[in-house]
Amino acid sequence: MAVPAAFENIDRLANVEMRPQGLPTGIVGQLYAIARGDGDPISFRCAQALTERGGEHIALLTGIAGGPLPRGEVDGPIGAAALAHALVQLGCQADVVVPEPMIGVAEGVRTALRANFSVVRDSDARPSDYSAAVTIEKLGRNRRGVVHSIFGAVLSDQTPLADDFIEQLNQEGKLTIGIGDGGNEIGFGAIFDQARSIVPHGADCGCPCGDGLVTSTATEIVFPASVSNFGAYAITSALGVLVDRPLLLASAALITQAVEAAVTAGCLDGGTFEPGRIADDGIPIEGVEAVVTGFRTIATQHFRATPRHA
Amino acid sequence: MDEALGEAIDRLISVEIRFGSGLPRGVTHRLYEVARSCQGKPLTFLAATHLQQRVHPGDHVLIVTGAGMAPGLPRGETDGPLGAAALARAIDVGLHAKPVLVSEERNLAPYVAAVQAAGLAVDADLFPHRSGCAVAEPFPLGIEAGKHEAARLFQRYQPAAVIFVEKGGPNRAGVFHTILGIQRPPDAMANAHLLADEATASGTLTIGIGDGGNEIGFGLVRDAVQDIQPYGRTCQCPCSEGIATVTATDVLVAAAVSNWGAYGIVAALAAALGDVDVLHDATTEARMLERCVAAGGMDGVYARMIPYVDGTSAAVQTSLITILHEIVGNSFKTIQRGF
Repeated sequence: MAVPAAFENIDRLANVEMRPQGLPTGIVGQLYAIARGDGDPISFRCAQALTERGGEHIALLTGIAGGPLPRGEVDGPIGAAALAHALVQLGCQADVVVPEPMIGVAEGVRTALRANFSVVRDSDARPSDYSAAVTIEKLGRNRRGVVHSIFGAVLSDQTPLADDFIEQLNQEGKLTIGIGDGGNEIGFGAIFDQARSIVPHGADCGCPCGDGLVTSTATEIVFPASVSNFGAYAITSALGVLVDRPLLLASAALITQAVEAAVTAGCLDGGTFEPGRIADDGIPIEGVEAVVTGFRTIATQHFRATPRHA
Repeated sequence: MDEALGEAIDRLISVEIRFGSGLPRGVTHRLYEVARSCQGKPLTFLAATHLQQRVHPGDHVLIVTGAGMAPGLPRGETDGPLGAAALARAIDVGLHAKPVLVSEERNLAPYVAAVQAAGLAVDADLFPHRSGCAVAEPFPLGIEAGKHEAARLFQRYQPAAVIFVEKGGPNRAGVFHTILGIQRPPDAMANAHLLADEATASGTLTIGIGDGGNEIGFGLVRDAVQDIQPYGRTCQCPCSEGIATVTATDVLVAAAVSNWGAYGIVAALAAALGDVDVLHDATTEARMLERCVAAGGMDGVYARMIPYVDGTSAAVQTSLITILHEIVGNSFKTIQRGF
C-alpha cells in the first residue's frame, strides 16, 4: 500500500524554517534531504518503527542544562513530553529522561499536559531497562568526545550519558531515533560526513579539538526538523495517523501551557535566552501554536471523508 | 532576500491539508516538485523577484481570479479571492502600484469584499487619484467577448504584470474542466487565458498560481500534470483531452491551496522589500474570509457558506499567515545569543 500523503505533509511542515538570522539558516532542508534519501517520509518511518518494534518501555532523552541555560531550553523537553504522553496513551511505558537540574522542568511540563509518563534522572536510566529510545535536541559528542553549541563553542559541562545510552541500545539492535535541528544533536552521526559538509562549523569548530560540531553518535533513524520539538510533534501526529488517533498530539493550547510551565520552572527560550519569554528557538508562541494546529489538522483531515459537491 | 527564505515559504505553502472528498490527495508535493525543477529556484522567491523588478510605482497590475458556477458555487469559492486580495494589498502597500481586480461578474462581489476587508477601497472614481484603492473589472463570458475585453483592458491599463489566482485555463481542445474532469463550457467562463495571450504578445510579466493543474500557469508543466492528476490525461467529458491546461505563465507557483501560493508570494515580497507589513496579518485574514463568505463566496469543497478554504478551517488560514509572519519577521531579526 502506498504511504498516505499525510506523512509527506507532516514531514514538510516539520521542515519549514523560521529562525532569526544569527542562527545557521537554510540547512535543515539539506540535512532532511540527506537523512530521507529515496525513502518514505521520516515521520512515517519513525511512527512505523515505534509501533512495530518500539517495545513496551521507551526512553525519551532530552535536556541541555549548563552554562547560560541552568534549567535547559524549551526546545527538547516539550517535544519529548508530547511524544511520551502519546506513547503512554498507546499503552507503552514512556520515561522522559533528563539531567538532574531539569527534573522540575519535565515534571511541570507533565502536569501542564495532564500526562502521566515518568520523569527519570539521566544518571538513573539504565539502557538495559528500555526497548527503544528517542532523543530530542539532545547534544551529542563528536569523535573527540567534545560537545559543541551550534556555533562551535565547547560545552564542557555536558555529560556523555546519553551518547553511551544510545550506543548501548544500538549495539543491542534496539530501535533508536534522533531528532535534531543543527547537526550537533544525537542522531546526526548517522549522516556524519554529509552533515559535516552542510553545517557551519560542521567539520571545523574552531576550538582546540578541531573535529567540528557534528556529533558522531548515530541513531537508527535521524529526523532533522526546523525545531527539534517540531520533529517530535511530527512523529506524534504521524503515530496518530498510523493508529487512527488523529488528535494524539496535544492541542496548541496545551502545548502553550507546557511551554509556560517549562519557562516558569526556569527553562529558557533557546533562541534568545530571555528569561520568561514564552517562545521556542526564538519563535514566539503564536508561531508554535500555528505549527501545532497545522500538524493536528493534517492528521484530522486524513480521516475525514465528506463528498464534494457535484 | 535570500533563496533560503523562499525555500521555507515554498515548503509551507505546499503542505497539503485536504480531507477525503473525492478530490485527489497526495498530488500537491508532486506538482510542486515538477514546477520547482522546471523553474530552478523557490517559486515564491521567483514570483516576488519578478514583481519587484518589473512593477514600478503607479503601474497597473491585473489580478485575475474566479472559479465555480451555479448550482455548486454560484458566486465562486473562497480559494482565489483571498489570495488575490492579499496580492492587491501588497501591490498597493509594497510596490505602490495599482491593482485591477478581474473576475466574472457573478464572482466579483466576494472578491471585492475580500479586497475591502484587506483595507483597500474598490472605487473606480477614486482609483486614478489616490493609493489604497483598487478598481473592479467584470470580465465577460465566452471567447469572442473575452478577446475584445482582453484587448480593451490591455489598452486601458497597459499593465506591468498579470497575475492569475486559481483561474481555470483551457486544455488543448479549448475546454475548461474542474479538477474532477467535469467540463465547463467556454461560454460559462471568463476566458482569462486571453489575457495571458495579450501579455505574451506585449512582453508583460505573467504569474500563475494554482493547486490542481487545470489553472492558468500549469501549461508550463502540462505533461507532468497529465501524469500526476487522475483526470490529467483523460477527463470525464467528450473532449477526452484531460484537465491539464495549455496556458503557461512566466512564473508558475504550485501550492496546496491557491490562496496560500499568493500569500507565499506576498511574504517573499515583504521579505524582499524589508517590510513585514506588506503581508496582511492573521486578524485581517480572518476578516477577509468572513466578508468573502458573507458576499456569497463558498468553501470550494463543502460548497457551503462557511469560513473554510478548500475544506480547511479559518484557524488553518490564520495559522498559515502567522507562520509566514514568523518566517519573514525572523529574517529581519539578528540575535546575538552569546555562545
